[in-house]
Amino acid sequence: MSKDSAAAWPHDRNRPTFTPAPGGGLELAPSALDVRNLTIAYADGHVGVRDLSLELRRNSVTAIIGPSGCGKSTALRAFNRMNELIPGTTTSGKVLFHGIDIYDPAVDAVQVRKRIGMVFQKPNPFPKSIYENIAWGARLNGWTGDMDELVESSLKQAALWDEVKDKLKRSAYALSGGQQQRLCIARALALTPEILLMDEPTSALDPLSTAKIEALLDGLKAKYTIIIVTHNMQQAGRVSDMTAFLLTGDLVEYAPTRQLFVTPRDERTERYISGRFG
Amino acid sequence: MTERTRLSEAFADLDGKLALMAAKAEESLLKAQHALATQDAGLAKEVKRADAEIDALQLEIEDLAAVAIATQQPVARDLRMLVAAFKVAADFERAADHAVHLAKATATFAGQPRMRSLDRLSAMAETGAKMIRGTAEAFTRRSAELARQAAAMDDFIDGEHKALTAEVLAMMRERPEEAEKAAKLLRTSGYLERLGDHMTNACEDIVFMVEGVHVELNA
Amino acid sequence: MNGVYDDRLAGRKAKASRYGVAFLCATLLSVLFLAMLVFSIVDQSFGYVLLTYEVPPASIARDGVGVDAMDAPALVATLREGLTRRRFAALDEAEPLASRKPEALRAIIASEILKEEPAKTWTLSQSVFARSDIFAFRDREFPEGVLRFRAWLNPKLLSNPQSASALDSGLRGAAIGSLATILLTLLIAFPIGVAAAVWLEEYAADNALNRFIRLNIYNLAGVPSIIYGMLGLAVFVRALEPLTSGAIFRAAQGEAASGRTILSASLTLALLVLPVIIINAQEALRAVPGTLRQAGLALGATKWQTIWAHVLPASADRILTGTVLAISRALGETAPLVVVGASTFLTLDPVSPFSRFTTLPIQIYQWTSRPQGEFKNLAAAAILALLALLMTLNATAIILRNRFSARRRAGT
Repeated sequence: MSKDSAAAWPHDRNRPTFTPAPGGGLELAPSALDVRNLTIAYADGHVGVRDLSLELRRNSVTAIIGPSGCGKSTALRAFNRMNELIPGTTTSGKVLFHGIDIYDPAVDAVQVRKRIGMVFQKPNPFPKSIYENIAWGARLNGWTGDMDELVESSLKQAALWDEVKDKLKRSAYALSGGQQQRLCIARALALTPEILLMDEPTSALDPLSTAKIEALLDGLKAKYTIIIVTHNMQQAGRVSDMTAFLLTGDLVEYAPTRQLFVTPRDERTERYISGRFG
Repeated sequence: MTERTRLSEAFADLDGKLALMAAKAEESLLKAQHALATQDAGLAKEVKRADAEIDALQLEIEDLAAVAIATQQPVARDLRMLVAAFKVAADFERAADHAVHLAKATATFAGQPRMRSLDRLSAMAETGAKMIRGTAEAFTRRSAELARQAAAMDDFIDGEHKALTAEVLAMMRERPEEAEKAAKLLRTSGYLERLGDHMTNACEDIVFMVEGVHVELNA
Repeated sequence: MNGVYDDRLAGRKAKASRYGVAFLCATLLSVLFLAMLVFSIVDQSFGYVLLTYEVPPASIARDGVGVDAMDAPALVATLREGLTRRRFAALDEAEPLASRKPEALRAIIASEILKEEPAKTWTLSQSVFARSDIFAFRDREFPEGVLRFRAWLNPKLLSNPQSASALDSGLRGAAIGSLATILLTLLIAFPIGVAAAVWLEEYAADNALNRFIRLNIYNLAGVPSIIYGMLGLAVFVRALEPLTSGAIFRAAQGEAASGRTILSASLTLALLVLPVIIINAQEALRAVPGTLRQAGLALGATKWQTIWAHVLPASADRILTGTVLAISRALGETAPLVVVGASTFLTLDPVSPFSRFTTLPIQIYQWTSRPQGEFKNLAAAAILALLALLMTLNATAIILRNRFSARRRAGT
């Protein structure tokens, strides 16, 4: 699929900014995203994230956890410049993607968001057909390949194909919440992003739908780098390889999930994950 | 049905490590038995070395199970399985320790003529090895039936231990000057008898893991 | 009940039922007012008319056959005899009399030969309940007169142009004028209004200037319509006369080449409804969940792509509803159009945006201000026509909106 899709995406328009390839081939940076001293403040002066530095590993699932208002969603939205949609937000520090700061004035947020996709807390499919939900973003970004094929492969990656293959022309609103969320994942995957940001993707779903999406993540990390924000600490434990714990805007601990959940180094992490917070 | 990949992977990992641990414990026990039968001091040393590996494996299994419990929120059979893994690994570790004890006896009986009691020890060790293998198989195949079969072998070990104890007591009465050897024989036989008990306990844990009910095997 | 439950329950229930009765009364009262309004209009649209003639109809009977029973050739013959030769030729030239319908021929005979005049009209209720009084009145006052039961709301009302006689007068010109004005108003105000709303809602930064602009749009929506009329007179009729009269397009309508045209009226009405359309569209855009915008933007769409593909379609039904409400209001406006210079008497149909015009409300207003009683009946019938037009417009909008949201729910 990757070879075909590479042929169908117009490289000249969408990729070059993020493909520093002096040696010819695509050189993989050691980390998918390299966040350096990221500080985000809102219009009212409230600091959402303070001096955050962390390297997000390629092809792995990284969970960002922490209590409400700890800045985890703020941080996530900073990774594809969605925080810019909130007027008055100021961002300092760097988020390096293939060695280039996504906040560099020469980089357009629209390009960033194509390469770094996002799935939101509440399933938000477009009020269009299932097919069109996936095709729209791809068409917009210059997909010239076989659209039917792209729709099928995207839905398959999101483990939704079997459930919807006979009703692609039906409204996405006719799907259940869990199916809608997987459609949103498929929609993001159709752009073949490198990174998929997920902002509490299961908090509006029932346990069964949640389990389905969690099961999906393990398969997806082979192709994508996944960063998931969750208020559900157990979920972070279940799905992630690395976990970052944020508290009132500060990064308290960033470690392999198995370590953070069995032998956390920081007393605050210990208290939080063992439910003795505050 | 939704697959819990990570939990399944942890289980597969655990099965592999427990099977490896059991194989090593079984091998140690058989080597110790052979060392005793052939007075092979080198083989006895190997048994001691293997013990370190087995201890390391036990730690790995414990870590694996602890991480799975901490991150995957296992419940019901999944949870029983992880708890059983802790206990069965500990039992295997004890079994390996007893293999070391058996190996240590090699030096005590060096240059001795063949004794009936030594044959009994040998038979006990052989049955013990079968129990270890059976227990491991019961665990990896999640079979209460296999566990019950493995536990049933403990009767033989107990019987041998009783017979050996009677023999040694008679020997001590006849030849008090051999009391030291007699004591060693008794202690070693005791170790093997306990090995059987450990495997029986492990089998009880496996039955609980599979069926969810506590049972007393060989009561 | 032993203090387990609240013992004041009976009192609370009584209070609740008192409120219930009050609400029911309020509803009944408004229904009553509405019924009275409809009744008084319908009441005046039908009823007896007492017709008087300068020439007795019996005098022109041919071979004992009255006008009402004559066939077409006989009617033409009657006209040839009764009219001057020149008048007959003129009528024949406009449309060959022989090919006209008997009904039309009878109308010409009634007005030009018999000189038919309504002397008095009665309402529907009077016609039904006081029929004998009406006949007694005729016998007493106009023994020669003829009593006819007339539906003032009839096909001729829609097809005839305005006329000096209430019996022949129609509102074709006014209806065309109203439709043309409204259509043009819609074409001007809708795109501008929606575009402004999109800018204010989606693009404008939240600063003092933009807040000031928003506040003033709200204020403009409350400005009396006559003020817009004066603005229209000063700007569109006077200052922009070359444009609104069509002079610069060489399309001016002869002697009417002043700025008092349909275009001026439409521009004025567009100004009038613009704030309402903008506010409505803003509300509609605001009702679109932010998650939809985020979804678009997160897929690497630009702001405009997201607005065009998702935000506007999602708000289209609300925008449409708001626009129709605004347009309905414009359809009923009289004051600004009087100021802008609607014609009070127009026998020619408007043919282009640069035509002189009149509209239904103005026509109604003008008819009600006539001293002759029969014009009141005509006005009532015209009001019914206006109401029908309004309802058609609203129904169209509702159907459009439903189709929109149905399509959205069904995908595509």
